[in-house]
Amino acid sequence: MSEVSASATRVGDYDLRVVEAGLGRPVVVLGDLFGVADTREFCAALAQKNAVQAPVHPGFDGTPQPEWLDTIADLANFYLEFLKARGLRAVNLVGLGVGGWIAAELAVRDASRLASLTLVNAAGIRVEGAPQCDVFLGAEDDLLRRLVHDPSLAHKLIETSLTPEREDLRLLNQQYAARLCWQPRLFDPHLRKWLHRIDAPTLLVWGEKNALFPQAYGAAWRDLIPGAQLETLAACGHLAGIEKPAELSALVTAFIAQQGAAQ
Amino acid sequence: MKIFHFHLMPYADVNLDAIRKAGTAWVTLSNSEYDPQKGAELYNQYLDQMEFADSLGFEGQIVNEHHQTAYGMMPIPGVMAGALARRIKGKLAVLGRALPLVNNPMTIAEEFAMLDNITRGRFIAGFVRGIGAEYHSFGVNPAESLPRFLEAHDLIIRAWTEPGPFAHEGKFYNFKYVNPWPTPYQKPHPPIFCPSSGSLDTIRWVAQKRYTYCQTLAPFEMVAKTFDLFREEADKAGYESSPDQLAWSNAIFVRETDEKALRDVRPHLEAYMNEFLTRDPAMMMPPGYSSPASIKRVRAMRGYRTMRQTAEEILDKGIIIVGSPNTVREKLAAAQDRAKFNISLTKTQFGTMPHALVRENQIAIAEEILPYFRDRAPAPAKLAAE
Repeated sequence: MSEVSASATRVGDYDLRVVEAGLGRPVVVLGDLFGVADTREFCAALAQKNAVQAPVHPGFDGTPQPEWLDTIADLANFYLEFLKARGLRAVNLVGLGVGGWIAAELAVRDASRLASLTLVNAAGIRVEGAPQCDVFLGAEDDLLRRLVHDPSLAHKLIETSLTPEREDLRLLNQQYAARLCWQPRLFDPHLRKWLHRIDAPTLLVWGEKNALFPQAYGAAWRDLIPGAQLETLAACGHLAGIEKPAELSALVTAFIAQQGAAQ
Repeated sequence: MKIFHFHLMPYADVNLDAIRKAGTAWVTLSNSEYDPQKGAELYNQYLDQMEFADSLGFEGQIVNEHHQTAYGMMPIPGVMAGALARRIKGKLAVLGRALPLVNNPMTIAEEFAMLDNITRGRFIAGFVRGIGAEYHSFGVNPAESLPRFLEAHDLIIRAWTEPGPFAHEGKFYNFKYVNPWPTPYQKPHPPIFCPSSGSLDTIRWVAQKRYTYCQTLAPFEMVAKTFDLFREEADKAGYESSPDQLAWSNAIFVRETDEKALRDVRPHLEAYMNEFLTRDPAMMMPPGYSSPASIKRVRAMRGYRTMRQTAEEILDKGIIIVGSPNTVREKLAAAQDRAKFNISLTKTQFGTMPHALVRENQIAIAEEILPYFRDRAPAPAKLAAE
């Protein structure tokens, strides 16, 4: 496995923590805010063939709270500044869950630095009539059981992540997620109107058993973004980066290579 | 001591098994369990109880606000306050309206000013955050609860005290014209009471504002400690607080003997504490509503989510006062001396308690308890220590 390093990048007035690994085409991974918001295994798999950069969302996971942060759109604008600050071009942007929402908002604004966009089980739009589980009402262990498909994986995640040592951090992260996603619940009513603006090859990856954003969401995103292709991960819930890291990484790597070859 | 009469107006005819099955009387207990025929009867009984309590000499009548729950049928407490405003002679208090839950706090400024005018200044205004469950029911972001509360409060006070029209430009609320008609009858504005379950931030804020702090239902030792904290915070704010700034929200049930009181209160009290009040921490403390430290404190109470209490346990903790006239007098007097408060917000009905029993309880309190406390102040520190 390639070496992992962490660095800080100055973006505006904020020192953004970025975890980096691997060599190859540049990939920026924006993680989720729910369940076990841990992209390490997925990023390690991706880093076998790509140069992966995974920022820690400003204010998340114990990092300093920026005063300017109120909405997902603030993060989208912030990450545009991040791409510019790092001088990144022809970036392959990958967003999981709420990270997918941020990535889509970013791409709607300006996709000129993107070689491709991948949205995995993304938040950000609402599909009427598609039932969703409640990520805010219920015990933490119950939520993890809803966010992954395999009960034995859920059991393992409950054992390893719901520890007393991490309780403060989890509560702060839940507060962070509520601040950004509580109302409207996990979507921006105006985003879908502008998804046609996304001018980058787009891959959508959906967990077949996603209880938070069921299959209908993947299909809706595909219909809203011109030319987007939709892939489904079998026996996979919402936390695809944790439940199917190798399969997800293979899909993303193949898509990125395909875009590179086409250029 | 000023003893107010406080009603929660529970849906007392609820099927308790339905609550046990749903695991809660809040948010997700289906309203198919509500029967309007029974509800109509209860509303009218409860208003009768409040008018009767007024005629018996309680200091005032108190209503409050809760949403989407069998615990209380007053989502719009102003409706009940309006029904009482011209029927009672004592004070009238709405404790309180949940400021962050509304999109325009001026509606609360208007509602309270109307009540203050109709009662010719016998009105007391209550401001609360709203409890955690209501952020689920209303969809309001709990992470914005505190700043919304503070901004709404500042706007209402300004609207009551500064001639309009003026513009309000805030983070959560923006109005080109703030110019409420009517303005309050009392000047500069009605007395303000703030009920809370005891968060330090709220205690500090209420002390700094010199308002009246109301401690919601809790074991008495916690009430006493909270009131100590309030006095400390007032000291820090540079003044000595008055016992009239401290209100204990309790319930009182009086029968001829302690044994009879316990026997008669048991089913209603246990239903109240174990079913109506069921508190799932995930529901009651949505993320951002309280600090991680407060959430951890509640979670750490072992078995909190499923803990059931017997009437004896509830009485031992001093959450409510039950017994013969003598027992109730002694306990309330001891509580007043220990915690140095001068206001009691007293429920005479709770849980499933039926109308006839409530009426008997109200008469017993009026005859045996109210006269004893009418001119009673907390004992000075030295005497209380002896």
